[in-house]
Amino acid sequence: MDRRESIKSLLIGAAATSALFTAAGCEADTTLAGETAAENPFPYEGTRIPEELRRDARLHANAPFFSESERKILDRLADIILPADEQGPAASATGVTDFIDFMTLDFPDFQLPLRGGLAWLSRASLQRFDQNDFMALTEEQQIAIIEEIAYLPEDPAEIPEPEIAFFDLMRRLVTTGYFTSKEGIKDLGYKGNAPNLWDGPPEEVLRKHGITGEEEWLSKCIDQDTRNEMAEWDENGNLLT
Amino acid sequence: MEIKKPTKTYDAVIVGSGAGGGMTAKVLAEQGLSVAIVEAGPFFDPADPVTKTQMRWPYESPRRGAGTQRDFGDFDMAWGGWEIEGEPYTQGEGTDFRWFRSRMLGGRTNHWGRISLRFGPDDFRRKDIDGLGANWPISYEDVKPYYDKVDKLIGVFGTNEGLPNDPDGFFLPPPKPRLHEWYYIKGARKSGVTVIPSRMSMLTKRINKERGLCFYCGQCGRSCMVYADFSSGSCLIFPAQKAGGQIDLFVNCMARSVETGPDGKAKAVSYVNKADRQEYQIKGRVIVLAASACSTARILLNSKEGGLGNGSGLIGRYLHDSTGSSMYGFLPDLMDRDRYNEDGVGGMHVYSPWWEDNKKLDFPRGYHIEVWGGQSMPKYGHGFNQAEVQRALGITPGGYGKKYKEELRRIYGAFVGMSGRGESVAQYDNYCEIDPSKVDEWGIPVLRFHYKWTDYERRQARHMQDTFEEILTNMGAKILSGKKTAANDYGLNKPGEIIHEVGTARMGDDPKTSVTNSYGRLHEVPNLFITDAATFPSQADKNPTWTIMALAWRTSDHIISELKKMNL
Repeated sequence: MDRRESIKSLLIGAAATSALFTAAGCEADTTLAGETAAENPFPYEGTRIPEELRRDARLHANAPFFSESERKILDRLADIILPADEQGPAASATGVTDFIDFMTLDFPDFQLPLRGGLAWLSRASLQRFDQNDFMALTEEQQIAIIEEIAYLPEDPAEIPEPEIAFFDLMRRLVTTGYFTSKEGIKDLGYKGNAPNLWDGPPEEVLRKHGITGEEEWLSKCIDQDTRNEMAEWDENGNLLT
Repeated sequence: MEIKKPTKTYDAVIVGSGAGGGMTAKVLAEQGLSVAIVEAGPFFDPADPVTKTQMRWPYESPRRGAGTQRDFGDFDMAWGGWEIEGEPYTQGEGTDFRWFRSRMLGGRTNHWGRISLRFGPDDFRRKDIDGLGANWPISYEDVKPYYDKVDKLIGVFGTNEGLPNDPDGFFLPPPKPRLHEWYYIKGARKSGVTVIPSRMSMLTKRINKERGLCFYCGQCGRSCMVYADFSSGSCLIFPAQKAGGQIDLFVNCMARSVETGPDGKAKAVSYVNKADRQEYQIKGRVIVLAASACSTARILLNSKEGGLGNGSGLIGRYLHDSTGSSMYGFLPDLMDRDRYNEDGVGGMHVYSPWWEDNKKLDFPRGYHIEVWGGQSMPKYGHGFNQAEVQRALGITPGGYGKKYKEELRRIYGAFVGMSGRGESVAQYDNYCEIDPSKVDEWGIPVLRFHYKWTDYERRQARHMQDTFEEILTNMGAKILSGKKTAANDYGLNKPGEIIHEVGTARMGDDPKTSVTNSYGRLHEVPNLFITDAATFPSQADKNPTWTIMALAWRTSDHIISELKKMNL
């Protein structure tokens, strides 16, 4: 492909594809592979080396970072960002606030933006609704404040206001916290982390994506029915079994 | 804790238990030699259910697997990292070299990518081709029989393609490509970029009765509990011990120096036992350093004023790592994907070996392309790039609520990325030396690094960025990582970040311009050998592990033969 053509299609590409998100929904089947398997009987702590255990102990000794009232606001923000719907629970029900609290200790750079953002929420609540407690506002009032900080600049090079950066950090941490939780993984539909025999994407998936005529490549790949036969080669490296 | 004290003189004392040390120990022990391995970290067995991280879920970690504690995340099987408490290193002016160490039995083989590439015929004679660096004192034909043996012993999947500089081997069948890899195959073909099945050391098929077969969890970086991937413990040291080999493990023992006798021969390794912080010596008729390129240089430089066996002045010199540069994007065609388990093996099922002729390009050495993406297990960082996706799709970046949650489901598994791993040109001025002003907590003087990329590497990285952009665009992807420019060295990784450091005690026929002979034997110390990548005169555009093992086997055969001839 011609390089200039390649660059041109990069420049004009973005706007044309926004319609994609208006197409219909997701897969309904979200059964999690391995979900019924027993919980791992060996705790996480066994996987840590002494230095890591010492560091973790120091972090846990300082927990919780946030006060009870701050945690209530974090729970509320988590549920504004990822509310319950047909496919999964609200983020606060999946342990994201505990996760965020731990991360502020594990990665102290998160502390100021999060604390500063919570303070901004109090000031905004007082200024707009004469009530300095974000949690005492009505849902409509809360959303009105969040609307002010929920969107990032179109230009990624533009540095957002601190309160917008705060909400962006919350959005990232809540998103990661939710989709790495047991419930969030199920919601997402991740099917792995379970023993299996990989044999390529399902036929209908290949068809849907127009992957055809690749018999030559596929003929070189493992036939899972022969995996238990002991490998033997001729002297030129041709596999005989 | 009981302190294991060395009492006897071993036939061979080996420092390091990774790819080179493990292979050396296995071959020597199988020939009936008594072997001691000195390893700076604790014992590790991938099958131990207590330390096992394989098959764990992100929510088992309080940080959901973030890299705040272990560099590649909580579940990566590397006990160590770029920084180790109590074991610092320093930098010369303008240098930011990154030195990754795994302190554990098996070393970095427990977490590595298992990309198992032979060097090709041209890789042993680069100076003949482009006039830069040094040729190897051996050719591909010298190493080929050992590559063949390593293939059969360890197991590697791949395909015989008849490529001139990416030699065929004894391969197990590769796994079928994943969906995003099919997109890559098409995109690469369109640009005339060669693409073939990966060559990696996981067992897709049985090679012996002892090791288990791959069950496709995609977590080789966590080290496989059924030994279906290669690690030095599971495939070399444990089997050799099981077969009756006399291998004593001195774990948690940090080697300091090699001691020599009045005859100039090496006689012992001095080390600090980390358990009691006391100094010990362990005697051997043969000493083998396989501590990793930089650690081996450090031990030699700490063994004697000016360095042991350093008449050439080259110990520590010509340090070089692979280059790296990456780009990734979002594939709208993969939105709303059908969900299925595509973990596969840990890493890519397809890759691109170097396909160009450097004579027609403005940089001398090649690179290969690694591909990544797909429906992988969510971990810390999942969703962090949503704003970039939204911008690429023309959606106002940010947001919240049910619409935002639905967006995240819809784009899952639609990312694809590629990374170049290239050959840099070994430079005399890129080196490590002893920092005279600093010791680690074991009292051992530490390394100071001096390393700068040249325009050879920058121009190669520019070529990577151009190629990745073209292939991603062919695939219909929106590039999310941007295109790196001269302002940021075309996205070149810092030296050391690719963890392929080699060259610090290069081999050669001339003692004035090399540290060891072609068997890794020090020119100046007849019973001292090196079986890690310190001896590489040049890195190829290939990962070094397969060559480390082939050369370690060759050196071990040589040691046996020399012992029989009473030459050591």
